[in-house]
Amino acid sequence: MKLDLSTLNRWVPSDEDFIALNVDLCVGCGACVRACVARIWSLDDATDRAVLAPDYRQRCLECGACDQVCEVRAIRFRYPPGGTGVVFEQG
Amino acid sequence: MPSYDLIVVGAGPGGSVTALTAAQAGLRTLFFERGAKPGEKNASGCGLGPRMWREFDFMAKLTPDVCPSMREGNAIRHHLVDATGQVAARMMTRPTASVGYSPATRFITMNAYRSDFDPWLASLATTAGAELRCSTLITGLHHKDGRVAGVVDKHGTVYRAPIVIGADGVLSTVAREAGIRERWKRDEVVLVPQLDFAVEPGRIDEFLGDESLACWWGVDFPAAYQVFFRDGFHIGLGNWLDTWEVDAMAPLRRVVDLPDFQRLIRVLRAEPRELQVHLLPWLTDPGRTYGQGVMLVGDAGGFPCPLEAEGVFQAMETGRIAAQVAAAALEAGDTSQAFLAEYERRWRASSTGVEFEAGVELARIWRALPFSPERNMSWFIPMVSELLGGIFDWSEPHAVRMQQVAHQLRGYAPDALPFFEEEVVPLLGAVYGDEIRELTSWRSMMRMAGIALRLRRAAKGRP
Repeated sequence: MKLDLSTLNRWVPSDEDFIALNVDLCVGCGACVRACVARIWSLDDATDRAVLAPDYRQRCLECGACDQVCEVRAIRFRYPPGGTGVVFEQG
Repeated sequence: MPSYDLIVVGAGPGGSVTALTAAQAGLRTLFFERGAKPGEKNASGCGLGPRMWREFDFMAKLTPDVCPSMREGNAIRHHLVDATGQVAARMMTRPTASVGYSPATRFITMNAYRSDFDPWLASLATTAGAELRCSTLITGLHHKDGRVAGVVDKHGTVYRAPIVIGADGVLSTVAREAGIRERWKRDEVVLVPQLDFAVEPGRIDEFLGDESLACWWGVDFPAAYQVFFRDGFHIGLGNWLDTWEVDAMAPLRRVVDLPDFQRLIRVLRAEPRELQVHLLPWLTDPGRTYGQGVMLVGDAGGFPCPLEAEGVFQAMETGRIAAQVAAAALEAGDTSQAFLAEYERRWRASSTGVEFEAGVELARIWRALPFSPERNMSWFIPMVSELLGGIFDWSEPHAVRMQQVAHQLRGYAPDALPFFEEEVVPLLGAVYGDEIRELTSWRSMMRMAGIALRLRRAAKGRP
């Protein structure tokens, strides 16, 4: 079954950043890429370090796994401002 | 600066029951929700267990007019999937004769979307007098004279109260700001992607009867759960953060792609509707759940069941206890950590705490079996399939088939016996104590072997 997961959810996009990446700390292990169901993380081909998608505020599902799996604490996830972010209607 | 007796961060089941209990005890209570309404940030915990109805009288008021998605079911179907992706065996279970109370005899779970259930539960708290602020993200604790004295929201507004209860989920700001936990270790938390499918109301009842849940057990994916609602179902599976080797969606896609799952989708005319994902603490023991002026309830406190990580009932029960302890602390004028130690004493004595008495063994066996597909499900599923399916065929005379089955089962013994010794016996020991240690002792084994030998001799007519 071909599942297009990118179109299923609804967001009230935040106008503030809520994920911070300190690229200098990143060692390019890729744990964030593997853990992210929303696919907002990738590894840069040239530098081999993590890249956060510019439109992540309309795609993040707010699980916080990226922060939890990052051994070198390069990623800090905090929740988006109240009333914004993903809206689960059948959670 | 607004001032309250008690502040609760979070309006999920834990936060709402805390606020409800506190308001009923006469405390000026404020509780916060970061979503525009309760329930829109939750992504699971939707199979409500009968213990809720036994422990909380208000659950009798949960009806379809306030919670349209609710659907009760009294059967669990287990699908055992082999290495080729075929369902090798399937069975259905219901509440057994030893289940002792209603509604546990009537339903295994009452399934409800949290986006229905949580607003209803929060409304009970506000009706009782608690104040709810939605769309408000709490970012820190407010301290005064070195003591917790309230919370601070994202805009810097301070809300004062001598006690703060963290019901703010797995990534608890209250736990972090109180210095109780910076973050989880990787083997303490599972990542659970989950897909919701829409189904026309009535169709699930028509095709699945009173099936409430389904479990998909596999030799190449961690166990998946399926929860059926009035107008849809969830399929999800979790695994510890230290065990993902490929992308986190791959095992869930594997389950959805199984031929039997695809057939179910076609029969139910199900359509993918929502993708959800959440972290879930899955611990052998919750550890520290309070500090000076602070208590943690539900997922924030690490309370989900050590066996299968269900956490809604545990959140509600710990929420009620935390509110009662808060009321006692305010009455005594003592919000110190020493006084709030009463919280841990009481939750350990509760239904939630009793579950953790065998927490290490329960968590171990679950990790060793459904979450170690290659290591253990690879022999467990063929073994159970052989047992269930080996007898019911007509390829040979039945006596010959029984010998063939026994021969095949012996082949699983090198894996099954150590598993029994390392995982099952410790669990039985934790639950039954000396009784089972005696039963599984070598003296007892020898005695039973002696009895078996005498029985066999007697059957053959020898002395």
